[in-house]
Amino acid sequence: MPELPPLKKTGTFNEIDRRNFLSFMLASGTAAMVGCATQGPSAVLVSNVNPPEEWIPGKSVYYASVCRECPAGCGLHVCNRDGRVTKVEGNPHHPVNRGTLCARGQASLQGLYNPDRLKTPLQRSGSGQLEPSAWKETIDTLAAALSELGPQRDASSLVFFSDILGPSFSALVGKWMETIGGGRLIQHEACGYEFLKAANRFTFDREEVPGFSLENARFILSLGSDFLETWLSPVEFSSAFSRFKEYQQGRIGRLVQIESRCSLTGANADDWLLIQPGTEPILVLALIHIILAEKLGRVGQEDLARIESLAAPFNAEKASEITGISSDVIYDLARSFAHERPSLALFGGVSSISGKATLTQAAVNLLNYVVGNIGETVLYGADLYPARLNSYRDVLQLIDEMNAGKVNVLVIHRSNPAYDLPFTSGFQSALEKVPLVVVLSPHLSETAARADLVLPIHTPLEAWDDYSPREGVWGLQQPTMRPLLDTRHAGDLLLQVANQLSPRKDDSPLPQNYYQFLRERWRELQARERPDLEFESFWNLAATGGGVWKDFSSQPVSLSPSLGDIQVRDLLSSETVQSQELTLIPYSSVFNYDGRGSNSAWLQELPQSLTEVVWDSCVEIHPETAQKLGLKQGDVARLRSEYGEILLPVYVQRWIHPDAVAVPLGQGHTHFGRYANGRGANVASLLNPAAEAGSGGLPWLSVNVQVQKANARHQLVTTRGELSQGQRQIAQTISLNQMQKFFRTGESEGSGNHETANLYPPHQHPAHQWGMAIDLNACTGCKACVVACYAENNNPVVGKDQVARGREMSWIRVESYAEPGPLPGYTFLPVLCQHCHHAPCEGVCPVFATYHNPEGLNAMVYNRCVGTRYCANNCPYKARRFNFHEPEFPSALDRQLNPHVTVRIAGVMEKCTFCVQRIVEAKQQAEKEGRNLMDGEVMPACAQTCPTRAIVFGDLNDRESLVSKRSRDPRAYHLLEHLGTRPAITYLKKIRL
Amino acid sequence: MATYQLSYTDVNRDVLRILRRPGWPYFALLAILILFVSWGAFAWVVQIQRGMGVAGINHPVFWGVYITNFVFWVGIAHSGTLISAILFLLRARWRTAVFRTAEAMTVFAIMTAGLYPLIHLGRVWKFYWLIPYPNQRELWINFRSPLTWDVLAVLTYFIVSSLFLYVGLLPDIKAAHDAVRGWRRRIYGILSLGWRGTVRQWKHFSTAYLFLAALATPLVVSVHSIVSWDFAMSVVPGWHSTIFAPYFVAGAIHSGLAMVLTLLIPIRKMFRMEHYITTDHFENLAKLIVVTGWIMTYAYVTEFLIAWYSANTFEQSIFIYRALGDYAVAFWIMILFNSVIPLFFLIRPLRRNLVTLMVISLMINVGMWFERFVIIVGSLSHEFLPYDWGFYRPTWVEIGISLGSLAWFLMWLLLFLKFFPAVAIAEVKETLLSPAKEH
Repeated sequence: MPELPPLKKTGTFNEIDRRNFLSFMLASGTAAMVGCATQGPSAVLVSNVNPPEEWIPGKSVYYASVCRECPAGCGLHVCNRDGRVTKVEGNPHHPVNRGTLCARGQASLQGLYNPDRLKTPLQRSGSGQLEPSAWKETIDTLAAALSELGPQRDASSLVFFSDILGPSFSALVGKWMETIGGGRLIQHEACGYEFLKAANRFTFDREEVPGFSLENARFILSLGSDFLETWLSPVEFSSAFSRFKEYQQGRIGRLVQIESRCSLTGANADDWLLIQPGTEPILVLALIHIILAEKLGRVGQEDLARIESLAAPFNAEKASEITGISSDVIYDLARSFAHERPSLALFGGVSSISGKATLTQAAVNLLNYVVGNIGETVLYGADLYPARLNSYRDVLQLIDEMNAGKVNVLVIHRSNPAYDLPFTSGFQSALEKVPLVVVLSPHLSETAARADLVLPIHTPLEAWDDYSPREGVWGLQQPTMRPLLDTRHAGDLLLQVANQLSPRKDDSPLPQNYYQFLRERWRELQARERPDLEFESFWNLAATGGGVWKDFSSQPVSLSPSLGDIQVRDLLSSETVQSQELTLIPYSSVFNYDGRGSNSAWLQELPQSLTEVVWDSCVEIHPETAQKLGLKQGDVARLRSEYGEILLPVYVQRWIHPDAVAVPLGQGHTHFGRYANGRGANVASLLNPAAEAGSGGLPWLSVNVQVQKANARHQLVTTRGELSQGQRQIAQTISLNQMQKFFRTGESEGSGNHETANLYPPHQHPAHQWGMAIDLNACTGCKACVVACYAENNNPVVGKDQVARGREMSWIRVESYAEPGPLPGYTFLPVLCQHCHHAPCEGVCPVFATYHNPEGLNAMVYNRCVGTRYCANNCPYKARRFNFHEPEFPSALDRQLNPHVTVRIAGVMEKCTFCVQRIVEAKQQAEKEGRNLMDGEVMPACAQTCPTRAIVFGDLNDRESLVSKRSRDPRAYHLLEHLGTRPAITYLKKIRL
Repeated sequence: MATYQLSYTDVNRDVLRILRRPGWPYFALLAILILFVSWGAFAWVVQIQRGMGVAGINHPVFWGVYITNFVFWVGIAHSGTLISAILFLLRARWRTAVFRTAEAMTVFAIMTAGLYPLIHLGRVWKFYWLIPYPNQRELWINFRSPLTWDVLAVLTYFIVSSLFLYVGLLPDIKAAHDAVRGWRRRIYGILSLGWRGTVRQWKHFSTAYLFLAALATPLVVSVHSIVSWDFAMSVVPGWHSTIFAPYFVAGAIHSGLAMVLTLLIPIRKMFRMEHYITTDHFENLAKLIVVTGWIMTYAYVTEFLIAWYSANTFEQSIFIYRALGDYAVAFWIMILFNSVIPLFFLIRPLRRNLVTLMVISLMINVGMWFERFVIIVGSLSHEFLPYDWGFYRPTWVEIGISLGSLAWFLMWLLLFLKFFPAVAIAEVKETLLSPAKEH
């Protein structure tokens, strides 16, 4: 086995890395699989009688790959069992996600096995309908259209429009266009970061997006930046955030979130401040003003003077008046920001990108600059992916060209602009002006439905590619199984078309297929990065390790000479807000993002952050505003902007500005698939299509809406019963003072299990006693664990009607509690089977379908269960789920089922098993290798994916295991301890400042 | 008693007259009941085929109307044994006229109650796994589970109360045998197990009857105590309470007595048995109801008192929720109908008036059903974790099965009344002056 390149330390999880590493399969095996891609779809479930040498039936084989659900580019380890991919996990070696994944990453499987994937190419027939067609025909059509373009043509006549591409694919597109006579590539993401790029140009003359080191900060001031959800690289930032919040040397990091609608990030903040939407730059400039006035800046006098001149008009009182934040708080923020160094100011996220986003970001850059955060928490040189994207203004320009008839062939790859772009941008109607619109997509979409040709391509899990989210990280995206359907690699398609246009010669710049092209590109990378290695060993290294990476060096920056050009004065001219109108805050959530994964049943059934709404979209309205408008929860509201109108059910949410309403992105699909269509509304129909002047980005937050009551009710299904826990002490917190006192004096409030009298002898656990520790201080409520559990344990989805009856089948759920008060103050509490030592469920089962096993698991024998449901009644944690109906897994979702886990039938009870199949697998592996199990070697799916490593699993018999140590932590407590159930799960209290 | 003027011949004639060919109203009523039973059976089939999801039960309310009905019918079953066995042992002679109906009611109520553990099973086709029997799979049942106790208790109760009913019937079956001709006579002959009314048979009969009465008496207390342990043995706030056994037994008797009234008043009217079942009988039952009503009130107050005194937030929250939450209507129906309304029986004219007797007894039946509903659903929907609080509402399947089971109970009772003497001929005769003394 070749050696891995130097990796970042992954803390205590090194052992698990090795174990996963050992079970990798060499990439060479998969190269053969790609060769089979042209064969028809296979109905064979059981693999070859004589499988390839490395392939042991029933054994999990992990392939390293790259997640392409968002541009963050997390590394994957994809579990393939008997030829089927059944689970994706984070690649522990990958510097972005370090072994963890978010909910959407986990749900990428449902993109692969989606029942609505296209099975054949579609071609628009004479009658105007998209009809199934043969591959040859459609490729001929495309080739013919391209050859008609002629050699002397405008670059606009062929446009390749795509979501963000990896370096090799974008190079291929460039070469391809070059070969066939020219064209233009536009890479566009709905959630763009034009303002970040532009602001860095304004302030530091660097058109790049820097890296942010949250874990090094002591104080984070976030202006609407939802870095735990979608902002830039949420998994990486979640992990960094947990280290930022970790108790070390008597302190924890402090996050102040300032926004107009409480996001999941805001719910995790220590302080949360409500700000008048769009007034962030004034606040930031006021902070700079105070810092400079109080001489707290840490940069040279010359720089200070230049910045001073910008910030001068912004005193705290004026800012307070405009933003709605009291001046005392502003003073306090400024001083804390300057004193608690290194600090970090962040801005961005769909919900705060207004027409002044560039200005705000420029101010934020200066704020970070004046206190000396650059190089400590803001790392230039990282060059994050957004720099490669085209701006929204480029897309507007494309629309103009389309309307002008300049675009003859528009190839849209994976992207869904007809859904993403503001409807009034005119993209949809401009499509009609393009003679040939070709969509390359694994599934139908709003854009594909308007195309002339739809060519089904592989999902990223089936395709070779590469991806680089930032400087020094080259992820190799490896196919993890044979293509499920008769689809093509997008790159192969382009090459095939090019070859058809001009028969390939030996000196052709284009190779036969994309795999060869990719290898050529990586040969160049090898020559540059690892000249010491042979290419094949470099390639194998990359394929088994998931890519190659190195640290980037942080570069110093200096203020741009053009700083003075930034126009800030007119910020203070008070805007007139029409009294009847409310500001529309669109936001992207960790589950829906920009809507590309909406056709995943897992994501639809996942309760949305804070609202806990499932299978739906809603408009969040402040209770006072709702009352004024006569709206109650579940009423349908009509939202009308200058540009359009939508209908959405009302969700009354306390943590939103009374003059604003919030609508999530990602729902309101019409041509996306069975799970996504007809749910909620698409906020794009309300948006202002004009680009932001400073950056050319889409200013999401720039529309006012009228909200009226429509005479209808809508069933809004949430999984939450009650938000307040009252005196129940379920999700517990501890103050920082108490923590400090404990470490000073060793006194704690006492924890551990109460010893209670018992009629029965205690259970013996001779070999192992499995246990779990969940750190509430680390849990951010991202619910990645929930989706991971669905994927690992074959949990069925039940649909909205059934969730309304509380019949969702999630074995783990993230409860959230908050008390009435001035702050959201959420505590997130993942609840799963507690595997109690004295389990109330075990005693009441009349047929012994559930029992305590010798390793401390509360085991469930599905076959024995007759369905009295007494166990579930008697479970104080309500961890048990009953199969009220026969589960359904429409094809091909059934192929995702984990063969190591039983699919349960209607009428039986089920619940968390601590992923007993993984315990068994790890024990067998250890036995085969003649050694003992190591701590961290067994990891249930929830713990494995947790981006903040809040969940730790291990053997409580081993006093040195991490879980044992955590269960002795001063913050340790057990859920409903007074019942004497003695859970195997220890919770660690959240630390409050 | 009012029967003193009757002769032995009158008794045989009056009681056996009921067994004659019924008129059309009887058949019409039977047809309606069978219709309802079929509807319930259909609903059950739907539930088996499509899964428990067609019922309204959910997470966290895993038990709903089915278990409510189960407890309700077990409760109904109790007064039968109370009247026949305990009052027999206490030599309360007024029981004579009513005990047969009460015993039949017991058996049929258990037959109804016994349906529900089956109906509520997720996999009813595996119901026999609940029974301890040697099997090749070497599987056994869990004797720690209150549900196992439940199965055994209810089965025991069914066997003993059926035997008790049947043994008591023997002399009367013989009387019926003597009064009819043809095939019916043959059947009665077989069913009477060769009863000839010899002194020796009477001697054994008396001993057996006394023995069965003694055996059945503790069951009155034990069966419903065990049913209550289904709840009391759990950790659910609002269930986990030591008061449950006596509370449930008293409740069972309360509802059972009310059900006896509810049934006897129309039966007496239908079969013109005013000579045998008199207003005095009703009055005695009404007095007992006042007593059991007080016990219920005491239990209700105790539950709240303990919740308050415990200073346990989970417990307190449950009781506040019951009184003021989603199921407040059910709760106040329970208080009004079980505790307040029976107090009207303190007024003598009201407990001797058939209309008020009927109305109040019906209200108590309703109130007692709601009591079980409040206990079960009112606790499960608001357990420990507020995030998981839920709401339960029965669906058409549950309502269909509930009504079907009521019809099932009434159907058996109606058939019984037509096939077997509804008043114990032999025992009534014991209360009469003997013919020898008459002469």
